[in-house]
Amino acid sequence: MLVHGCLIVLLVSAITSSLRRLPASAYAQFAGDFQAWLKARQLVFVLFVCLGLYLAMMPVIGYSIATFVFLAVLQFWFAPKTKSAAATVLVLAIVFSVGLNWLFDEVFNVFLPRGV
Amino acid sequence: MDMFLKGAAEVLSASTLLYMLIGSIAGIIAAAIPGFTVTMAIVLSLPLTFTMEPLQGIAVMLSVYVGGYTGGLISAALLGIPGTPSSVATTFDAFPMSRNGEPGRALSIGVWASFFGTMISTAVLVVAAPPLAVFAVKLGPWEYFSLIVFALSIVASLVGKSLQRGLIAALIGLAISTIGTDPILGRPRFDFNLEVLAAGLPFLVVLIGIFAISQLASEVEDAAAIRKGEQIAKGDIDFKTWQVMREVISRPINLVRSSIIGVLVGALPGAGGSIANLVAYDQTKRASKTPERFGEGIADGVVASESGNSATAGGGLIPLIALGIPGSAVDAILMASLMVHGISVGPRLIMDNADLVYGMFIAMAVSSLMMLVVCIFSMRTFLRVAEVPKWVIVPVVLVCCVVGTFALNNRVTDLYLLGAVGVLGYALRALDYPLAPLVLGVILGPIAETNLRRALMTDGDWTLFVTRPVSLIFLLAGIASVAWAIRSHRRRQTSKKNDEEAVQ
Repeated sequence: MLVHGCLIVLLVSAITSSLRRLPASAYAQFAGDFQAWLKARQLVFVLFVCLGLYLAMMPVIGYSIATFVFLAVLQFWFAPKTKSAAATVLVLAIVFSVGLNWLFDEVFNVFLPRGV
Repeated sequence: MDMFLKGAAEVLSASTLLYMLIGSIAGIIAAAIPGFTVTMAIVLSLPLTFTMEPLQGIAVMLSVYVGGYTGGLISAALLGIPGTPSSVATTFDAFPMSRNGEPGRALSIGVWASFFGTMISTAVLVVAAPPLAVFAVKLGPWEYFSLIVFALSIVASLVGKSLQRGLIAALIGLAISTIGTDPILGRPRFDFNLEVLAAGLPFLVVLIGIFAISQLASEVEDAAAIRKGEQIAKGDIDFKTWQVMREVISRPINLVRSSIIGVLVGALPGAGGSIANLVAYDQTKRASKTPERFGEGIADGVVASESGNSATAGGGLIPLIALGIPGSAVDAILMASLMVHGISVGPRLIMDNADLVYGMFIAMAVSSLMMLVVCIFSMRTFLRVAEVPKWVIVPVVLVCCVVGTFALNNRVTDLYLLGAVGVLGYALRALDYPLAPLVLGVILGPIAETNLRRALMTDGDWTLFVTRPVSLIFLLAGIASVAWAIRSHRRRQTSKKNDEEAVQ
């Protein structure tokens, strides 16, 4: 336990010393900077929110459905709005939801969540 | 010799060769896609090798690894975008070369250089690993603990721009590794009574979360670029296989020097192909009679970068096989796959599982040969791969990560951990913290802890760590590597200041 105590002390001291290096003005601009950052990285947040929902829903509605919805939503969000892209999205979503489920069930004997 | 033949027989069986072929194609394809790193490709191939024999599984992963180092060349040469961080220096000369109307020659030189680089590094591995392991077996828990402290200090000082950030990342890794069950007494600790944390954070989940998910998330940072596809360079792609081979072999000094640099860099914990290609390129440029022609499409530059990054594959395996310490994230995954198969990794690996180790040597050689053959015959097809847009890659690979994580233990709680670690990894990446020390901390943490506590249980005397000579040497080396890093950091800062003053 001594070792872990040392680790925590080191970690905290390292973090505080790096915080101290920030100039004071940085705190004042923080709110503004933060908003700009949120805007610039909006897709990342979309990605993580979708991932969170996907992981949370998977045990409930099963792997195939959850994956299909996840892939379709995310790809439509990111993809250019053209017909061929839409077709690719649907094909990929079906292949990776139903196809992977089949592959793991039949070939690797790993049973992905089926839902309740 | 018996063991050698046994290992060879297993690697050279038809089914293993077939899987390895698939593996090297997959590695090349994966690395050719910008934003899809070699590490990610290996992480994703891990769950698929669970059902195989241990050696078969590791042979497949090695072929993905070797193929991956070459695949990065494709997008580097044709698009000027490094497909993986390990082919950054390749873009300096291969891209101008293909712009000058010789894309086939650029690719061909790179492929041959990679092939020779891997071969040379495998030779070094075969020579260096067994004696090192014989030495390492004699080490007691004291020496082993000190060795790991040394390894972690190198990791933290080598990776990234700031020593402090490296150390913080390594410490976060160590802290993560203490969550879960105590390795000696089996007591739960730091689990906050949460069921999710009771079993600890399996380090494969941490690996996938940190490397794959955070990488994917940072790929979509640029909202505008993702929606448009990228056009590939057009040009005459003619391979001229044998002619180029002579061209590459006629630069033996460059080839050997870059490969040795790759091996050495690969053998250091924490440094990998991403550093080796730059160092090798730099050294070759300095030694060249015509340094001013570098960057305009000179063959020497391509040879240096590609043989340098491919040679790290063999170099990184030296500490893994001899000491049980992974040299890079990729080696950590290879180590994990051995552990999943119930093989304990450490200096005794080469004695207890000699057939496996010899099999790995053969698999390295076979997979570089396979990579060469695959590239020569189907390079043109791979060119199309680099056109796959990001909006397809990111969601699909995310699903693969999730499936892979679940398949490790069939535990739904691992998926929640994956999500959490992914967010943490992205946060660290966005704040410009190096991720490799963190992952190596997670892996080396339990080894260090077990050895430390075993040492203290044998003899409660702390001074043994500094009175046993070998242990003392490792500890001093650790302090020296941190001190050296601080010094070079200081020097860089003062030189930067001088520059600024000169400008003013």
